[in-house]
Amino acid sequence: MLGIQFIELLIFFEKFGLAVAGAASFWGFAFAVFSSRLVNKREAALWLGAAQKLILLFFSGIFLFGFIWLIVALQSCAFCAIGHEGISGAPEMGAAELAGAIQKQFSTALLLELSAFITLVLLLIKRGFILANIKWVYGFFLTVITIIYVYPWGEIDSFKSAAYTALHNWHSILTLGSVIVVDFIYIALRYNLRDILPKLFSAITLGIWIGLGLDFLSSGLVFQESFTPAPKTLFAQMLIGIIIINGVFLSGPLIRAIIFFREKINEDVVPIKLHRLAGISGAVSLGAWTSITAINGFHSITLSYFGLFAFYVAFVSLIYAARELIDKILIKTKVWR
Amino acid sequence: MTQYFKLNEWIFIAAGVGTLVAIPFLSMAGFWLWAVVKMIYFLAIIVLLIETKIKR
Repeated sequence: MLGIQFIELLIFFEKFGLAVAGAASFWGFAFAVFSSRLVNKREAALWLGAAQKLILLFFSGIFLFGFIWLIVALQSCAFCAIGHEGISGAPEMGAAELAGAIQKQFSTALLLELSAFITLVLLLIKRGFILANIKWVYGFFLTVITIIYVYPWGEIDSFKSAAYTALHNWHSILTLGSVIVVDFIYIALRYNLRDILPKLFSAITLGIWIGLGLDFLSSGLVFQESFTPAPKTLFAQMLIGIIIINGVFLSGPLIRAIIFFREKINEDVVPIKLHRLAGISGAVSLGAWTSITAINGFHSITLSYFGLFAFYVAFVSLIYAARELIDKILIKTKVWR
Repeated sequence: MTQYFKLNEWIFIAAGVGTLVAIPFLSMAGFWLWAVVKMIYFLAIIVLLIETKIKR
């Protein structure tokens, strides 16, 4: 449909899950390390609490990755037996290359999923142990996820191509994944972590800007040989522009206004207009990051430039509606109070 | 209006606007136009890091 192959859609969700898990590990590790260096015990407890709460996001991402990875492996026939006379179940060359990469990646992906499962079980039966050692838990998972991102599982054309792939994959932790972390913290934890929100958002925002910079560096390695003025490419450039401009508004004046209400007026409920603006801006940001990751993987997408734009606007509207609904449910059930 | 944005944010906005404006010209001017816009972006990151350091 629209030139999008089913396997490309699956790979997008796989990347999404791993980016979320990677970002939760990265920021969880960073917050836990920062907490251990603070003298103020209350502030240290808040940062450690933020790190511990990210474990929910981590498990969501890691199990989405694992589940989709398995489906991709089955779809691409990565473990199909070679039949008589060397006839394999894997369909054509591109898919065979994917199947080969999945086979090579199998032990690492299995290590990641088994470790996540064991951690979840330990969290249920020995919660205190895992939460007390959360820094090491995140450090381990971040290392394994980095290996999955950076190691050249597929065919290597050149060092430049391998470097591009490694940087381009890993940057998802600081960009798409971190945007999800920001959303998670804002929607689910903004009242619990009120006192450290300004520093927390500043840190993650800096990470996102650096992540986008890593993407530019990686793209710069292959730009001259890979750039084509196709609708998909030009649309991605438009999304980059939107990401930057919207990102400035969201991380700058909007967040400062929200913090002003909390600190100066000591008001937990921000004006409805401000809340709506922040919601729209957040949806624009998440929609842009998700769309750019998706279309990067849809090699044969047939939508025109305006078709892609219409799809993006519809997607942002959906994200905004979902965020508002989740927010209302959390307020009604008083989950975080 | 100037008080609403910090210096690094103005440079980021310039990079974002530059990215959008460059789109129709990318097929002609290609890599170098793209690179110039990205240099503005990296300048914004440097200014952000300096401003963060000064604030601390």
